[in-house]
Amino acid sequence: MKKLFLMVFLCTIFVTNISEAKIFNATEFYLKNGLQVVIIPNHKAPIATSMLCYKVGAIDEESGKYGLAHLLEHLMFKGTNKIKDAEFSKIIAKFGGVDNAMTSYDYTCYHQSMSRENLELALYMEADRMDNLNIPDDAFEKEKLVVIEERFSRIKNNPQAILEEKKQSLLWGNSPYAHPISGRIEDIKNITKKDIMDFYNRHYRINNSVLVIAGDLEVEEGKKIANKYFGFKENNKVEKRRFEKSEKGNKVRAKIEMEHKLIQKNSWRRTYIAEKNSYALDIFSNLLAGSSTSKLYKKLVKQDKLASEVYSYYNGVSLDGARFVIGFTPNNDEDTEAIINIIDEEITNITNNLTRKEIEQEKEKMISGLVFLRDNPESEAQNVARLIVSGMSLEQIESWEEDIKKVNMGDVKKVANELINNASFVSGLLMPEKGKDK
Amino acid sequence: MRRRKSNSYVLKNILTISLILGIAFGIYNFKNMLSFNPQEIVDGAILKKKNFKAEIKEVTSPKYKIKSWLMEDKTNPIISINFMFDNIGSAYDNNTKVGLANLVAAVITEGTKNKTSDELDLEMERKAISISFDADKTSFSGSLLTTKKNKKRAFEILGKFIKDPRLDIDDIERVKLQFIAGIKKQEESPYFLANQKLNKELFGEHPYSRVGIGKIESIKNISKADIANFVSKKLVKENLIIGVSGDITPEEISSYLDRVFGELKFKQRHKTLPKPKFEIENKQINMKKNFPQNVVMFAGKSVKRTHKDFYPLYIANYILGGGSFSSRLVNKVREKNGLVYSIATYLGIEKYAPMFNGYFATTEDNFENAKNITLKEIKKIAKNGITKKELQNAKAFLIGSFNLRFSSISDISSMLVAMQYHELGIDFLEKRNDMVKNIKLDEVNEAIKTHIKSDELLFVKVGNN
Repeated sequence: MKKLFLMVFLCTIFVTNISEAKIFNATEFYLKNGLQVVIIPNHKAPIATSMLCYKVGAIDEESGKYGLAHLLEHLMFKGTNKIKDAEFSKIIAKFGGVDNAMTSYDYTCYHQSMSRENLELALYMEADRMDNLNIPDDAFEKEKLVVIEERFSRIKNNPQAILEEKKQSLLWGNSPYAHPISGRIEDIKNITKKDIMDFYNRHYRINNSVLVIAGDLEVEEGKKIANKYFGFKENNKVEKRRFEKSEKGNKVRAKIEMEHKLIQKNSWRRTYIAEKNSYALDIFSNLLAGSSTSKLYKKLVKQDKLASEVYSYYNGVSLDGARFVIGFTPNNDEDTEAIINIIDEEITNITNNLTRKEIEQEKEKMISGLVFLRDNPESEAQNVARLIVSGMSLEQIESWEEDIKKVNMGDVKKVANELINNASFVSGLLMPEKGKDK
Repeated sequence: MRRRKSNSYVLKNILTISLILGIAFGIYNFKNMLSFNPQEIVDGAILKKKNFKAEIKEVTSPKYKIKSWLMEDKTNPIISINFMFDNIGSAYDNNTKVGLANLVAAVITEGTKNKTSDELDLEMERKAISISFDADKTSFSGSLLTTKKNKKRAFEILGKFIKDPRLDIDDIERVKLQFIAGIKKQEESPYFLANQKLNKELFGEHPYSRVGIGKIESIKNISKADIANFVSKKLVKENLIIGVSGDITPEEISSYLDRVFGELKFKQRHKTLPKPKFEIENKQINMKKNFPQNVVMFAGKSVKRTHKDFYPLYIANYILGGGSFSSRLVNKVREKNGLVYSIATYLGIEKYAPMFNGYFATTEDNFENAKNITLKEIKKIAKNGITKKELQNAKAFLIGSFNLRFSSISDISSMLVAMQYHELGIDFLEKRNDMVKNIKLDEVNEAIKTHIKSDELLFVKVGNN
């Protein structure tokens, strides 16, 4: 009894020591067949989330077949040799689970959240559809229609999204990040089942995937279940991905203006191609317009009252598609040009006059709330899995806090200057149709 | 993989063995294929079921007797509190000052008496304290999320917002400009337009038909005095409901409750709202707008959250259109016919206007078809009810997914508020699964017959028609 008590005590100390340095306190291991597994114990309730991600996404599609990766994601729910008739989600639901999937440029992920004792059913079924996908012809055709309706919902009904696609195409040129994830309607119509199965067979491989499980389980249990459901699979050759072969385009600096009947107010957004995984850019975007205490927000929204919102963000975790975004909505549409000029002036001013204190302050803001990332096991699994398949190592994820602390003023100045002077960008201005009654 | 060359004898043997193995594997596979049994996989699982009891305590503060429900969770050093002042939401705004409740929610966090909004925002960001307020039709709510380390300061700031906000004219004017921009921008959403049209049609002149953030004119009408009056007269203890979750003890939270809410007045001078009378006319309204895909919303009547038929109807709705990929509507309209990407129904649990609602989005060519199938399914369920198997599956989901409610502390604290608001009782979570388990097929089908009227549905279609 005493011995046990001591062990528990030691464990506690051990765990506490680690968690001071790490964000998720996750453990990573590889199965013999190459499957990368990450376990994130979180014992708040007897539930767990499994997230299986394949290192394949819209950037791996070929011209004429845009939208294929996303269509395949839909079709993964349509049955296997074992599980017929789109029963996947229905079976998960019968066991109290909720499931879904997502496709991005870099990855495609499938996730289920269940009670702890039912999680292995999800793993079993996930392992099954990794190899045994069997799509009925009728379901294939019908799902193409669904995906087309999805594209209408996400893009065609939303002028801002239409403009973003135009910007994207101009900005990324020949890069695989130039075309929309949801594809082109003509392409979707032309995709055959053979195209889908070829893509599936090439990319949906055990050693091309990452499994992240967060929730009420221990690392040892995680090892056992990962082996039980995925251990028997054989690894395969995985080919080089398209982005690794693509060339960087010429520098672009352009603007697109678009009027639209459905638009009631101007809005402006500029997207830069940025360096990837740069903590200095993270800090710069927060400092610029990341919150209500940022430089541009204080100037444009609070002090001058010219804009009702101004924001910036940096999507830096990406294989090759990192971007930096600044945008605003004016209070009066007439002030739009003036605000753009102020932003351009201010970015340079802010960069030239950066102070150490400001940088330290931003770092403090970014770090103080990290503990909230440990709250929800579902978001833990999603966050970690997505970061990993976008190119970060678990080590990098866990040491985020220390690495942010290491960034100094010189680093921020350097990336900011690079952004201002050299990075490609396209600005988009969306406006109500001229002459329209308001 | 390359294999070493072998002589023909060995090769033959290997071939024979692999043939036998192949057949055996084939049989195994075939058997496996036929015998895929999810229950067996769960029964043979390594991860065993763990019991879990979500314990809610009712805490009463020592001095002012403020009540709150608390669910402790020490997994992480963080704390979440949600609270609601009922009967002061946007429907209670004066006709000429619609938007007041929402405007108060936005400006109340702009600084305290001794700190400007800039200074305070900075402090809160550095300490990872977030506090926000919000108003819906009937109530005014707030929430706080803080680390354990900064809880004292977090509760202190919350108390100042509620009792004595700064209300600088400069901040108020800015937030009003933001509201005016928002009022225009919201019209860019087909869902907003459809919902607005539906409310107008259902509630007519009743305040329930109004847009919560008001109109440009009504926002301009609101003065600093209006805001200050709202705070001092309407944020009172009488209609206050509080839920707390996270790493905090009952003793600690009760002393904070006194400090935050203790000095509020007890009663407000009641402004009452006429009960909304809403009749559903069986018709379709078309709103022509340049959206290439139609957004369709529909509404019928339902029952209050506390009505005896609520749970049976909740199950019926899960089967019809609430249960995502398990629902009849997703199955028929989306999977079998490819007419929509999203379609769902839900039960609106607004106290005085409980509704059965649904929506789908579809291009014009598919519209008639999608609507007809939707109506057919509603008629079918209204006429024939649900099957035993469907009831079983629905119960399995509702019971099996119960623990997912406890995945984040802010979900928990807001659930604690909802439970009190709907008067479900402090032991609701303990009883809930048994309650679901005990619902009979007849009860569900009876409730469907009584409440789901397929010929009393109002459809609104927004799109390029």
